[in-house]
Parts: sequence; C-alpha cells; structure tokens
Amino acid sequence: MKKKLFLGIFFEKNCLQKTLLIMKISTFFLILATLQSFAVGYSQSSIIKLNNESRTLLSVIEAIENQSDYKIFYKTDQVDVTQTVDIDDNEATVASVLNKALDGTHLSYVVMDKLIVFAREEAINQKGKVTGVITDATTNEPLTGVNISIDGTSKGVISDISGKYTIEVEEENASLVFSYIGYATQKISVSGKSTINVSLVADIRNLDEVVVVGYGQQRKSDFTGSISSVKDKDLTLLPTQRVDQALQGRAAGVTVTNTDGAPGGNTTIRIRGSNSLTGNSNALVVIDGLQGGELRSLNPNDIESIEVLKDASAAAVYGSRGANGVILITTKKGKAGKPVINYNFSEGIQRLTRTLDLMNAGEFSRAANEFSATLDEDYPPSGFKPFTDAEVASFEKNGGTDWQREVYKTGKIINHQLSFGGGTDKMNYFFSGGYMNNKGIMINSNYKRYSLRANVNADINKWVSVGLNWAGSKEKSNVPPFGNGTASGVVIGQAANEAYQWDATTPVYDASGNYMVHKPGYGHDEGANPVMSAMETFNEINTIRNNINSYLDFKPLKGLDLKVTGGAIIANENNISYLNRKTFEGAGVGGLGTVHSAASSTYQSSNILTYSKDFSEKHRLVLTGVTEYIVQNYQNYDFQGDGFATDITGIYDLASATNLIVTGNGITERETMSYLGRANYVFDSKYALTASYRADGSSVLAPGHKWAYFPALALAWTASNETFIKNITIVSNLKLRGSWGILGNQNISPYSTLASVGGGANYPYNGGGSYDVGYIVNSASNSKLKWESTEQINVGLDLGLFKGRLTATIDIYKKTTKDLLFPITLPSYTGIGASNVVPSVMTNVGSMENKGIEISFGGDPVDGNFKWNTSIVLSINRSKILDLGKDNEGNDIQQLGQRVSQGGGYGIGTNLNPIAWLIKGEPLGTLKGHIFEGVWGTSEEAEANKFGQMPGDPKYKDLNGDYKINASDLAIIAHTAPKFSLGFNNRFSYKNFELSASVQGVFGNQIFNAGRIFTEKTNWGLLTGTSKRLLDHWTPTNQNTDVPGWIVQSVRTQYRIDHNLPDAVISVNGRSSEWVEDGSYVRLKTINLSYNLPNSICQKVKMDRLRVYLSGGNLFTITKYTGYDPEASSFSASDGRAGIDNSNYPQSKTFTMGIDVTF
Amino acid sequence: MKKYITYNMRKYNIIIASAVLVCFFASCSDLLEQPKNVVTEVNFYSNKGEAEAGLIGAMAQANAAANVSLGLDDIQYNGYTDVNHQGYRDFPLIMTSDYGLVNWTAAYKSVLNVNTVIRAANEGRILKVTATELAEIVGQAKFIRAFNYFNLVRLYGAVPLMKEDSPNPVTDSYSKSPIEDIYALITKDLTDAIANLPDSWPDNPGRPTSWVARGLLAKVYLTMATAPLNLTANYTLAATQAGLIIASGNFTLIPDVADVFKIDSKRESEMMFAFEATTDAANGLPVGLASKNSGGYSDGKLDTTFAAHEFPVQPRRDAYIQLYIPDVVTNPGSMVLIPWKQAFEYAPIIAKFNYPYVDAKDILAKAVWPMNVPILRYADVLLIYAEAANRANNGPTKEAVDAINAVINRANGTTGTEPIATIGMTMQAFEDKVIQERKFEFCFELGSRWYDMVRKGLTEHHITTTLFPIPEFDAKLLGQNPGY
Repeated sequence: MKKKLFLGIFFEKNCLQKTLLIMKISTFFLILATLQSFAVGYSQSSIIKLNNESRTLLSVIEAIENQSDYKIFYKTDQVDVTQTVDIDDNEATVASVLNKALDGTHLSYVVMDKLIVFAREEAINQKGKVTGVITDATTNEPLTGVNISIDGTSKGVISDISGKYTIEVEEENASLVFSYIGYATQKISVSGKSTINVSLVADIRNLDEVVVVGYGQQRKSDFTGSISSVKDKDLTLLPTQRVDQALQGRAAGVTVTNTDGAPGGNTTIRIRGSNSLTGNSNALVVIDGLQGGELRSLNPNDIESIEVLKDASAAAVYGSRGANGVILITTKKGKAGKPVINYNFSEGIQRLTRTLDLMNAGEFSRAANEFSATLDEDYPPSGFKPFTDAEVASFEKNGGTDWQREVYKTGKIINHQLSFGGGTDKMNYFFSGGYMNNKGIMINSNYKRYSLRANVNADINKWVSVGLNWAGSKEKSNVPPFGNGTASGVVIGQAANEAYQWDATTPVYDASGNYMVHKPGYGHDEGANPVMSAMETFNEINTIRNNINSYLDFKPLKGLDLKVTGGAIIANENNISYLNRKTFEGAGVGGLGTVHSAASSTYQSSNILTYSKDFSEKHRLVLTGVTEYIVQNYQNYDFQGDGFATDITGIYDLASATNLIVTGNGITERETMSYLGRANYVFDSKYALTASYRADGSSVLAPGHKWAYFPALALAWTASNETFIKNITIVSNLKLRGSWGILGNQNISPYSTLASVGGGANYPYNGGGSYDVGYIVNSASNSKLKWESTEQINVGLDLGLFKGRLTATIDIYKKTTKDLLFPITLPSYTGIGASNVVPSVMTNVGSMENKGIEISFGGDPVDGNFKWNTSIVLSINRSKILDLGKDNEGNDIQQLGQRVSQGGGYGIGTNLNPIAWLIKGEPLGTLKGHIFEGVWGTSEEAEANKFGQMPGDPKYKDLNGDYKINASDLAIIAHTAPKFSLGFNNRFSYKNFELSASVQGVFGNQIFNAGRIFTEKTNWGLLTGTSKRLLDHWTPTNQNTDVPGWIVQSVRTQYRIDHNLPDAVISVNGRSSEWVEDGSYVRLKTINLSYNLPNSICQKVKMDRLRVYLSGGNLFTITKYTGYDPEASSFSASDGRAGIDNSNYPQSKTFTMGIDVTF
Repeated sequence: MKKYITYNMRKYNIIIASAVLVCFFASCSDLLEQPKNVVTEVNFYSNKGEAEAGLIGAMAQANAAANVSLGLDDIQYNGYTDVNHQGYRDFPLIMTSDYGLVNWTAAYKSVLNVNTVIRAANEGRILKVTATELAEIVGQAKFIRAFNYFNLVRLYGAVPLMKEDSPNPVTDSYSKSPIEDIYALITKDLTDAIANLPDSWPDNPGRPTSWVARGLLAKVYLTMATAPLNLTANYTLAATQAGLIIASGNFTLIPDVADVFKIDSKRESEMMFAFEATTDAANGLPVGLASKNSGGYSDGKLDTTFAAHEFPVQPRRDAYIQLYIPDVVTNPGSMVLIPWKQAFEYAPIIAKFNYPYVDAKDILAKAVWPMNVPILRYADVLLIYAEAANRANNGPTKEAVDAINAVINRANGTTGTEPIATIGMTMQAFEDKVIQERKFEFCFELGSRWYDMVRKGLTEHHITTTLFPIPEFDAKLLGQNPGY
C-alpha cells in the first residue's frame, strides 16, 4: 500500500508562483516523504480518461495534467517517464490511476493541494524515522551515548557505540535535541530530513554540564561550591588499576599518598589537609549514594565519574561525616542500543624503583675489619678481625650477596576486565567482571582482586523507575609484615628492613641449603635472614565486600522527584598470619600465629525528595529534602597462638596450639538518623544561592547531646552573564563563588559515652581455692562528648577564556576545626580503670586550622590533527594547631609528645622519647629532635672537649649552652606536611595515536628516614651499618664529612685521661636531624601510549573499537630523598605522625601492555 | 501535555504526600546504645552474682592499694640508698611527690566500685535477691568503703569524699573534705555493716563478717581518740566495741605463736580478716617483704637495733623475724646469725611471710606468695581493748591487763622473757606497754606501726608532717599536703 499525503497548499498557474512553488517543494520534498498522515483531497475523485495506445508514465502524467487541475512534479534523473505502466481501465480517478501507474515501480507520490510530486519509494516508506551518526566535531570520532530527544517530549534515544541512532518522529514540526555531557547541545529541526548527521562541538566550558553533588545532580553553571571532577578516561589507563592511586595529582586540593608500595597497599587521601589530631582523616567515599565505600576494592573500569566535594557548602550535606571532604563515585550505566561488550586486558612487570646504595661484600669486609680494629676492649676481643685477607680478596672478586636483589624480584601484574552494557529506552543494564593479580616485587607477596558488578535500571511506567546496583569484590593478599606491623611490634624479622641491614658477606643459604644464620662478631648478627623473613612468613588477608544499592524513583509531577533508596555494604575481613619455626618471632615459641576475623555491615536508607521549578525565564529553584538512616555494625574476633603442633598445618590447625589466647573481641553498633534540607536558587543565570541544613542524630553521643546541626550557605555570581562582560569576547565564563558551612567528623567510637564495666580485677574474695571473678568500672563516661566540628569558608573563581579553550579555577579556603577529640588525663580520685591504668577520658579539646589555595589550569593549547590537552593542579595547604586545651592548672598546653610505635628498635617511638609532637602554633606533622651539626673537626677540639667529646665524634647543637645534649636541647627538626603539591596532566593525540602523561610532585616537606639509623649504625660495638656512606667516615685526614669517625677505644680512654674530659652527656635516642631529609619529589606518575586501530580495520574484524596501549607507572622520580620512596609513611592514620619512614614496602615502577576491545 | 494538566490539579497534594512519604520512610530510632559485649554501670550489677563481682573487683583494688612496704616506721631498716626505701627519719624530705601513688589511686578505684554497687542497690537495680542478701551486699560494700577511707584518711589526711550519691567525678570537680567528715562516713558505714553483715560466712570464709566490721570500728574509734582528732570520748566507744568481740567468746588466740603465720592457720578464729591468697590465687603483697634467699625482694628488712636488741628474746621473735640464715660456709646445714653489721643485704628480715611458712615449690610455681596478709587479728582486738579501756578508765582494768597479757603470754610461750603487764601500772606506763606490744606483735602488718606512731606522736622531732604527698596530678587540683 502506498502511503499518500495531501497538503492544502494553494496552487496558481502563475509562472512566478510556480517557480516559488518548485522551490518550496524542493524544500519540503524530504519532509513530506517522512510524514505519515493520510488525508483525502477533494480532487482525488476527478475522473481521468486515458487513451488506449500509449500507456507510458509520461502519457499518464500528461493525461492527468490535461484533464485535471493537478500539476505533477518529478526529477527526471529519478523518474523514468518512458516506462510502460500497466493500467487496464480507460477511465479512473486520479488516485486509482496513479496507484496503478506506479504499482511495480520504485516510485511513490505525494499530493499537495493541486500538486503531485513523485518520489522514490524508499524515502516515503521511511517517513517518520530519522537516523544519523553523531561524531565529535574535532576528532570525527563517533560519540557513544549521546542523548537524542524530541524537543518538548519525554521521548529520546541514545547513540550506540558507533555513534548511530534511529528515532521515530511523529510531528511534522519536531526538532531533535542532541545533548552529551561535555559537548554543546544542538537543536535541529527535522523538517522532513530522514538522515541527520551531527557533529557535536566539545564544550570545554562545560557550562551546561551536569555535576553529581550530594543527594542529586546540578548544572555545573548553577553550582556554588568547590568541586573537582575526574572522568573515567583518566582512570582506566593506570597500570595498577587502583582508583585511589588514579586520583593522585588529578584534582586540586586532593592529596593522595601511597604510604607503602605493597600489592594492595595503603594510601591516604587528604582533602584540604588533615582535620583531626587523633581521628581518621580520610575522606568519606560515597559510591552511587552509598556512604562508606572502599576505593581499593573498586574496579576503576566501572566508574563513570568521580566528584570530590571540597568546600563546606558541597560537603555539609553529609553533616557529621563531611569534614574530611567527600568523594562521590558514580558507576557506569548501560546505554540504550545494541549491547556493548568491552574487554580490556593488560599485563606488565614491576621493579623496585631504586635500590639503596649499600656496600658490596669486598667493601663491607674491609670496613668490618677496619672497624673491629677500633675495638680493643671487651667484646670482640682485641685484634679480632672478622674476615681473613683471603676472604676479603674473595669477596672483592664476587661482590657477595645483594640482599636487595634477593628480596626484591620482578613483580607481575595482570588485569582482565570484561563489561557488558546495553538497554532500551525503558531500561538499561551494565555488567562487569574484573580480575587483577599482582605479584609484588617482594618475594612471597601478592594481591588478587576479583570484582563483579551489575547495575540495572528500568522504567516501570512513565513516572516510576527502579534500579539495583550490586558490586561484589574479593581481595586476597599475602604480604610479609613491614614498617610497623608484626603481631608483637618487632621489626626484627621484617624482610623490608632486614634486606638492607644484612651485609653482602653473608650468603642466603648455607652449604646444606638452609637459610644462612648471620655469624656473630660483625654486621647485623641479631637479625633474621631477609629471604627467610619474607619467604617463611604467611600473612594472608581476605576481604569480601558487597555493595548493594537499590532505589525506587517516583516522578509524579514535572519537577518532582522522590527517590527512595535502600543499600547495604557488607564486608568480611579475614586475616590469618603464621610465623613458622624458622622465623625470628616463631622460632622460640613453636610457631606464632594470629587470626583476625571481622564482619562489618552498613545499612543505609536514604529518601530524597527533589522539587525543581523554573518560575519564568529568570528564576530557577531546586528544593531537596532528605531523610536518612544508617546503621553500622562491626564484629571482630582475634586470636593469637603459639606452640603449634607442626609448621605443616600451622595456623590452620588452631586446635594444636599450646597457647591460644583471645586478643580481641568486640561488637559495636552505630546508628545515625539524619534530616537534610537544601535549597538552590538561581536568578537570571547570574546569581546562584545554595543553602542547606542537616541535622544528624547519632547513637554514639550521650543522651541529650545526640543531635548535631550542620548549616551551610553558598553564593555564586556568574559575572560572564552580565552584559558588560558578555561584550568582552575573550571571556567566556567568569564566576565568583563564596561559601561557608559547618562540618563534622564522626570519629567517636560507639559506647564512648558509656562508663563500661569489665573484668580483670579478680581476687579470691570468697576465701576458696581460686580467684573469684571481679568487675570494675573500666572507662569514664563523658556525657558532654560531641563531634569535632569544622567551620570552613571558601572563596573561588572560575574563569574560561577563548570560548573555553583555557580554563582556570582558583579557590582559597580556611578551615577551623574545634572540639578536637583527645584523651585527657583524669585525676586518680575518679577511680576509673584497672589498678595500673591512669584514668583518662575522650574529651573535646583544642582546635586547629587548615588554610590553603588551590589553582587549576586547563586548556587545549594545540588543536587540529595534533591535539594537546593539558591541566595543571596546584594545591597549597598550611595547617596550624591553634589550641591543645589546658592542663589541670588551667594553663594552655603548649605541646604534646605523641607515641608513634610499639618499639621497633629505632629508639624514636617510645613514650619517653617521642619524635612526633603536637605543638601549638605549628603544623600537624612536626618532629622534634636534636640538631645534628656534623662531626667535630680537629680545629674544634677545645669546644668538643667541653662536651666530653673528641674530634671525630658527632656534633649536636647545644641549645641551652650547658654542654650536655639532652631533652632540653630538643628542637623542631622536620615538618612532614608538603608546602605545596602539583599535578601536571597532559594528553596528546595525533590521528590514531594518543599519549598521556601525568607528572605529580610535592614540595617543601621533610621525611625522617629511620632506615638510615640502621644502615649507618656503628654503635653496637660492631659495624652493623651497610651504607656506603660509612666508607666516608671521619678520619684526621678525611675531615670534610658528616659521618662520625671510628675511634679506637684505648685511644679514646687515653684521650679522656690526657684531656681530663668530663663525662659526655649525649642523649639523642635516634631523634637526630641527621636522619631528616628533604621529601620533595617530582614523579612521572603515569605515562600511556595508545593506538586506536582505524575504523576500517575494526569493522573488518567485526569490532567497534580496538585499542592497544603501553603504560608505565612511577617510571621516573626526581628527589633528594635517599630512602626507597619519598611517599612512604609508616603511620598513616593521623597526619600528626606522617612522614616517618620505618622501612615500608617500597614502591615499584610498572610497565604494562594492554589491549582494549569493544564489540 | 494532557497528563500534566490533569496532574496539576492535584499538584500540591502530591508534593505534600511525597514529603510525608519521605518522612514515613525514615526509620524511627531513639538512638540509644545497647552494647552487646560491653557492660555498663547501668546494665551490670543487676543480680547478686554481678553485684558480688563488683565487690570482688573493689576488694582486688583495695588489695592493690595495700602497700605493705610503707617503708616509714622505726622498725624498718634505715640504710637503704634508693629513694623509695629510705626510712621515715628522712620523711617527707626525700619522698618524691608520687610516693604512695598506688595507695591513693587503688583506694579510690576501690571506692568507685563499691559506690557503684551501693548505687545499684539503692536504685533497686539488683534483682532476684532476698532482702537479707541485698543487705549483706550493701554491708560488704560499706565495709570495703570504710576500710579504704580509713587508710586514705590516715595516710593523706583530708581527701575528696565520694559516696554513692556524689556527683560524677569525671565531670564535676572535687576538693578535700575535712577529716571529721571522712571519719563520720567511716563510722556510719561500719555501723551499717555491723547491722547488715552476718556473724559468719560458712561457705565464703574470706568475706568480712559483722564481727570484723565491729573490730574495724573499734580500731577507728581508737584512732579517732588519738591524733589528729584526739576525740578522747571515743576511747569508751572503742573499748565497748572491742569488749563486745571479746565477750562473744567467738575468738581465741592461736595457742602457739609459731603457728600464727602458718598457711594452715588462716581459718583459725584469731585470723579475723585478711587479704586472701591460695596456692591457685596467690597474693602479691608478701613477695616484696620476703627475703631474697626465699625468692622475695627483701623489702621486709628490719632495723637492726629493734630486731637484735629491742625485740624480747621469746618464741615470737623466732616466729616473726629472721635473725639466722643457713650456714653454707663453716658448718653447712646449721643456722648462723645474720651478719647484719657487714652490709645491708644481711639485715634481719621479717619472717611472717617468709621462711619457714612458705613452701618454695609454691613460690616457684606462682611467683607470688600463697599467704594471707592479715587485716584484723583477734590479737589486735585484744590490744585495742587494752589501750582503750585503760584510757577510758584512767588506768588499767583487770580486763585490760588480761587482754594484753594474753598476747604477751602467747609470745613468751614457755621460754620467753618479756614481762607481763600488771594492774598496778600507771595509765601511761600501761599504754606505753600496749603500744610497744603492738610494735612487736604487728610488725610489718599493713603499716600498723606507722599508724601507731602517727596517732601517738612517736615520730621524731624534725618530722613536721606525717601525711603522704597527694599524687602530683591530683594535688594540682586539690592542693598538696604541707611539706611537699
């Protein structure tokens, strides 16, 4: 059946009019062909008489034109009028004649008033359908996921992987709207076109971009707060496949530090510094609305976007959890159209980024002999030489054991990602699976991550939609303990610091293949073989994590949206360790094993009501109301055992342990109820206001103090929308922002406000044969305990120049945190705690501030075939402790020493000798110690003698001039917080090649390189150090050095008598500026070269896209730091103790190759 | 378009309904914490067993507070060089301001725990108990509280006074209460304890009885009658209370003085109340006093003049103090006199908690002594009576003479040389005899001699204060005792 269309266009025989008509017809030709209405015109019933002989199409046309008012138009190249038509009747209506005449041809016709147009049939058959391909205007690459909607209706489709789309258009005067995040929206009138190909122009200004904010989305142009966005493209290129690491150097104000380099290792993420003296300062991670996410377990390929909420206005909607900033993660959704399958595989190797400069066996054996010659008292006996000349000669030849090479091998990293997404305009789905296997550079260390995700969204009807996100991950790692982390806090037996302490003269294995035991009399003879320490240690962590989030979304009215969500994070952690009988700690006790088993769950119900309304053109209002309920449960069991039956079963046969004790067991619950109201109002696209108010009620606070309130206010002025600036053509965007708000920090443990009663005071009260169980009041209750609260003000400027080719954002902020949580000592008469415990109570004391500037520049300096996109982010943060509370005499506390470790042999971490201090007026991360001034030279002999020292002895600054070096000579020796940090990210593309490189660095911080205390140590009566620096030790002929001399004991004794020296009081305890180094570094964090196969080849192999790439991580670092890695920090929970490097697992450089295929 | 027109009519209803819905979905919770593996003052002490666990904890703390080695009186060796063992003659000049920290802190820990139990009882939170059981719980608690405050007031003078209904010391600050108020609480608590405690605990022989409370009350009255309060009217009260115990006939002295500190004697009626120990649940107190040659720390060294010359030659001397050690040089197997003139390691040492009463096997197995440390012995009651009755009567009575002579006679046994007391003695002579007898009988028993010296003004002339220093941190809030 041929479809016909009649339009009532008035027709005149006038020639001019006819010409005009032809033009009109040409214009409407295609539109008409696509429209689907059918109408019957009055003239269709006119009878046409045909003569018998000639039945060509031309004769029919002539007959109709002659016998009716109709004029027939056609294109001669399209219509063959000489063809014969099969019409039996001699008389017929116009309609029937035309129907019969065109039957069996490829033609169809359209009637417009008295005009009949012939057209090709396929055009008319497809009327109502518009298809096309959407490409990027500059790259000509197809754009996937572009939203195509019919203006004024809710109908829309999304472009597929090759940029194609098809949409049904019902109304003749419809327009199509093409919108895509990051591109300027285009509106095109259909006007009869069946094919509309669109080139979208990247809108670098992103003015109409929508950003994800807490509990909703907002137009970026209307946004009043300070936010940093990172898009998925930047995430998946990283060789390590870690989201937290991917954030490093990407966003201004966001400082990510890889505090260790272990596979699956730790990072700290600080947004605008650290706000808490004792509490956790890591940012809140919100994944698809679910609070409390874990970045490490997340598959970066699942991420659509990351938004970092930095200022009070943006983060205050998270109230008591927002003080450390908020990282919002949005995971991918399926896109309407054919299913898209993506497979990404990469494989690579990892190497130690650098090795420490240690003595080889020849150097060490000679040095050890030389050092021993200085010891002519006691042990070892006088004249003892650890190595014979023959041994030294042999070591000279073979170089001995390179322990760093024995402990650090080539690591391997394999990554598989498969995702599957698709949908219709009513529903979409995205499934993904990931597998990452990272064999670390330290032998016997590895990490595996398995991840699965299913995101499904569906529209039930026009106003109700549902969705379910489920993500499951399993992480499994085995990493020998390092830094500060064995069960008993002993660093002996940790491969990471044994490796550089063992001298090269000791082989790994003895003649019968057993681990070599260090010979006594030289070197680190109390330690444990480094290879053994790594290989014989079992330390497995299994973590299973389920994130489940579902929602029901009602849109009963235009502008009204009610989203009811329910979610859960359910995680299990199982950590089992076993130090077998060969290890340092397991040796004497028949194997030492621990079990830590913990289950945590968070249930969250958030109900979000949004009402948005545009009142006329000028007023835009969005109101948001949220009620939220979160309950968090945690339960753990910890056991420690020794005396295991056999190392074969070890920790797996817990029942065989001779001693098994419960070292920890707890169950806690935390409930939070919240109400949030927020209003966004925009006037004339120039002035925007956001006001929010959140009330959080928490179970962890005392009755009567359970509720806390978090207001915030922000204003923005988009000056570029003012006429006087609109005229300045180079300025495309200029926005000024200002915000203020209060945020909280939820770091109060459950039950902190309850006075707990516990066992542990047993006594044979009844006079029987054994103890009776006694209970005592164990902890004090502070019924006035409240959250740390942070007040933040932020002023910001967004600038876009040259139509957005250059953008800049500058933010200045100041955060003041007060009511800092700190345990304060209570008078003993309170009676709290066990008999040997000094009573204390967690109290809100003190305050601190962070202020800083964040600057980011972005732009596309070069465009065209060769493209360069670049961004620079610069963050400057300064923290300062304002108040530490008062002592019990009412005086301000000026400083507090912080304990940093359980011991560890560095001599720096005890309560008596704290190195980390909280000092009023100083930043967080201040270390105190003695100022090392090198070595006394022979010219300074008289001065040295006053200290009881002699030339060649280490020289420390005597601050009070008493010729003693003791606690009163402690000075600030290091600030561990960077003065500023920088990220420099670039993407270059040329045809199918793309090169991206990101450089990241921090400047102006110091690191306490505790490892050097070991590598440069000589003071145990042995040459225990292995550092090459020791070869440069002081001698009367080598005075230009800061390595102290090796002075023969008898010489020293005689010297002391001859010079009548006082007793030297040099009480340094490792806290010397000698070990403080500049921690600044600049690092080529990642580099990635990828090649996209041309479309023509892809299509031949039935692929939409194929990319191969090479990636490198940490390839290149410039730093003065002499330890393994300038990012290392052994104490990461609080920045008060950051920057102390107790030999963490070193970072590695990574090279990977990968392939990324899309079907 | 049409659908919106329809809905617009109900627009505001829908907005309101949605808002209501949001609130409806919000769960309602009172946000109260109900910990599962943490017990609190509020949910613990809910039955007899839990309340008694609180008493056990309190008694454990009181035990920790009882620093036997006060190191201060005139019977202790005076030649130590380290600061914490120097004798009372240099007191308080050489004392560090945290000397006696444990006596203070542990006593207050004990007080907090009994207060918590008493509060639970008063608030009716101890359930499933009979009225008698509840009274006994409160009686024990008050006894323990009185015991702690009696020690605190004697060592530190005026101290913060915390009762079960006092404000929370974590949030409210305290100051020192006058000595009179402390004693008022002690006597009230002990009077209540006498009324509420049973006469005996057949199944729980370690617990305080009403007789023990009465004995302690007698001692409290006697102390109040002397310095610093000098309420001499209390001599009568002390004599009355002690007299009731004697008259009851429930208590006798262990006949042979050599048996008094035998482990097997700990349930004899003379041993009225003690810090308990068993071989399974040993007590750490005596270990410090015992000699190094039996595994202790040798803190129980005696003043040589007292031990070798002042102490009467009688069986008690050999039972209570150790003057001889095994001879390993000249005549192995025999005993020789400790050569105390040579060096301080050889000073005579207290034998009460030492050889020959402890078994080396137990010591090695437990590393602490399985010996009870007496808090109240019947011998003490007899001497309290003797002292109080003498004063109340302005001279010795027959009963007072009998009471002290019972102790002397036992000490002398069949061979002793210590003269007995007589009715013809003056009041002062008799009292001096009692105080001296206390010195011999109770040497090294929980500071007994120190307390006697303080209340009778026997300390040496240059000592201006007899109070301990309040621990540094608390002293900043409360004010330090004079002299520090």
